[in-house]
Amino acid sequence: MSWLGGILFLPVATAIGRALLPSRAALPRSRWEELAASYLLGASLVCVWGTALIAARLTFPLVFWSTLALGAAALIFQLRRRDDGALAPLGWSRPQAGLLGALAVGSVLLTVALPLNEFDPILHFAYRAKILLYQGTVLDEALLGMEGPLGYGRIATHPNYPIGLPILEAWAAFPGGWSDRWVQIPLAFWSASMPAVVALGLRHRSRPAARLGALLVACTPMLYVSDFLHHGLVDLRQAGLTNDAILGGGADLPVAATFTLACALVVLSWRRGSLRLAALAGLAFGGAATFKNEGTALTAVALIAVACASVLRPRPRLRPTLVTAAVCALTIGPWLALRAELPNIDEDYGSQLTLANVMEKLGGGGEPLDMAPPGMAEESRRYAEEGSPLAQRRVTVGLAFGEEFVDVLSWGVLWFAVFLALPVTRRRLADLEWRWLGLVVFGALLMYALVLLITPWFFPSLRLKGIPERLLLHLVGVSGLLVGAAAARLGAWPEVVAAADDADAPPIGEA
Amino acid sequence: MLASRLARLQVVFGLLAVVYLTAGLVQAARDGFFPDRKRYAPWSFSVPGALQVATQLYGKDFTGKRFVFLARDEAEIDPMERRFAQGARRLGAEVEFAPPDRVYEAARGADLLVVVEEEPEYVDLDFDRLAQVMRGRQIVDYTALVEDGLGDQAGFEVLSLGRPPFPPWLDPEFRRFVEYVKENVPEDEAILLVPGGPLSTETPRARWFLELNYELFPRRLYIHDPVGASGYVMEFFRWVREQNRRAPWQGQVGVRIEDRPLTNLDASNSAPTRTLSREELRAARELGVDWIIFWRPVADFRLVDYELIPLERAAGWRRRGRR
Repeated sequence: MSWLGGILFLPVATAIGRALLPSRAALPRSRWEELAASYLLGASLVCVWGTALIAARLTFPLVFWSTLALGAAALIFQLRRRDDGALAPLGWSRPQAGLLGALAVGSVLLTVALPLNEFDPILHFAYRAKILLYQGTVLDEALLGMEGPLGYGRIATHPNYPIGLPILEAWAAFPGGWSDRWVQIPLAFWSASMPAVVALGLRHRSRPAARLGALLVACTPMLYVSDFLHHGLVDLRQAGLTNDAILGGGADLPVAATFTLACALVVLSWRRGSLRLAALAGLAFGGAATFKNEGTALTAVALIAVACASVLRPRPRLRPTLVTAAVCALTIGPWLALRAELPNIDEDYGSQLTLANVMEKLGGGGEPLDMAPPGMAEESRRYAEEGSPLAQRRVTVGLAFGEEFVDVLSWGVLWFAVFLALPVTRRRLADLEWRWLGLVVFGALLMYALVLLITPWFFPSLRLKGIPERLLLHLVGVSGLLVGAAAARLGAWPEVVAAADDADAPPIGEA
Repeated sequence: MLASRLARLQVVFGLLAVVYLTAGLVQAARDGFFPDRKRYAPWSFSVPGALQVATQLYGKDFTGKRFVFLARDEAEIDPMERRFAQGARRLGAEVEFAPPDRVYEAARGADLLVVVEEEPEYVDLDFDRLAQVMRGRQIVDYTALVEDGLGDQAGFEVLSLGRPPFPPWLDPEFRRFVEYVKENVPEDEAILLVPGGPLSTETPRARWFLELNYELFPRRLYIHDPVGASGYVMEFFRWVREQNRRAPWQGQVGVRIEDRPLTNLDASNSAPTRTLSREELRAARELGVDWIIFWRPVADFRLVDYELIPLERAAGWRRRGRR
């Protein structure tokens, strides 16, 4: 019965999220968009609430029972809800629906087809899920006891990583016991959800734009696998096994999915002047922050992008923006408080982010060879002696990003479309949504480039571990929103008109 | 607009993703929905050292020794393995290559078996049959696919010089050791991990304590300087060097125990058991440790390199100074 908790989580999270969403009349959507947005909102709430309870020194059983009760209450609320309105299908063609369905069903099944089978998902996340499950809290000797008597202590990788994913896995394991396979059930829906929330965030511009954005995202191979067929047909034999697999127990997909939802809800809150949607955007940002530290950084980028976008008219509506920022602070705050109590053994980017360090690396600073694996250090030393540009961090980071942007086996043509869609002309900049989404994508790329520029670790070694592609994955959904916004605005599709269900939507922004 | 045309082109890559998902599901079903380590593509990479191992076993004169390479032809094997064959010949050994259908005939009277190619006939060895025909009990495995736990049961010491393509937790010997510890150590008890001797490798694969820590939870596992041990790979290199500088095994006495439950290689030089230092004993007492896992950190998990001992028994070795 170890699958029971995972299966139970699905209606609980969806019911909570569905209760949080406005009615269908207030926010038109298809069933697919509704399920995806509800699930992501519900999962975000469970993670944010769970983190807050753990930070308040309460234990995991309370997290489980309180969210279960909340799910039951949400279900009852939904059954009694009367003014829900009708669904508003997006009008997919049969082949399009077939492709989306195959990708969604395939990604869900492949996630649970094998038990946890990658280093990071097992050692960084599932280990802490076990701590929550067995000890009730991460404020336990298992993480706090790394420096014990005479230098002996407990073993833990990245003890201060966020606990959103561990909360979901522990939730799935709580009723029926731990299973490396079934704790992945709550984690099986990120790839399937992301295109739907892109469609939700674009449908007010036009239904074709919503379909285009959703298809662009759903068809990006990186949502499922990186570098597939890069090694030839042997990748077919190894499908689902190697660390090229993206599905499973990793934290990058949930960050990408919740960040996409948050950005879509920000746009919708501006469009409709809805404080409720603005608050839900803050909740989704908070969810992203509980999955990975990058979620907090991306939230900061999104909020800074709002400030930057406000320089031009029309400006974002003030009240929804303030509500989003306030809910972000409320939802991320408990995690930051909890994090301060956990050992920080290996990543302290804050202390690295100094002007001197940035200038040194921008000026041609090299790799810390003392941090290099022996075999790789030799090569880097040779580059340095020969005065090769490859010895400079700015060059290797730049090359890494460049290689990713043209890696069609991982990204298809996503990045080409993104760069073509960037709001770089006056006409494009006049569109608030387009301007803000462009700033978010550009700002996040800049942030990740900066982080890799100053990282104290040996960059070629990080490159082998899938950096920066796993960081770029966080931006797939918001890139879909950007390209969809661009496509709608430029009228590339003959059907581009204001969708009927949005005809009475108030104009976006404040002139 | 070009961006939207490109976006429509993306559908082609969506089909690529469908191919991946389908292949993954079909392969998973074929493997019984559990990852099969043999499905990982092997690395064309092996480490030197086979000749050194052989000289430790037989001295510098291999005259009268017979080495059988499990490969079709010397011309087809990697340079590293070829150098070993040539070196062995130079020191007087008789070197023979065995085609897949003649493994056991060729192994008759062999002192050393060298597994080079990945065919099932070469890696899925019948160790009982080999035990009947071979003179020696050593196997060098360049493929990292030979199940050395089965070899161990038949009295063979398998030395893996290949780079395992599969993740560590799929190693069958590792899984067997985990089950053994789970059977013997209650969930509320604690274990101290103690290296039996110098740490001979900095390869990240040797961090078996990470996987043990995960698999054995909620049992508490302790190690010296866990911050260095659990950090990035680069920090692990430093940790290994620091442990070798500390050398807690120095001044301790190696202990050969005759009732090793998981290995038949009681006489192996790889036995990790030793007396505990005063510092280790003190730490064990302060941490409330109940058990010691003695370990010899190498890239391949071998049952002969690990031993689980109750603390009181290990502490008794020190008191009696028993060898």
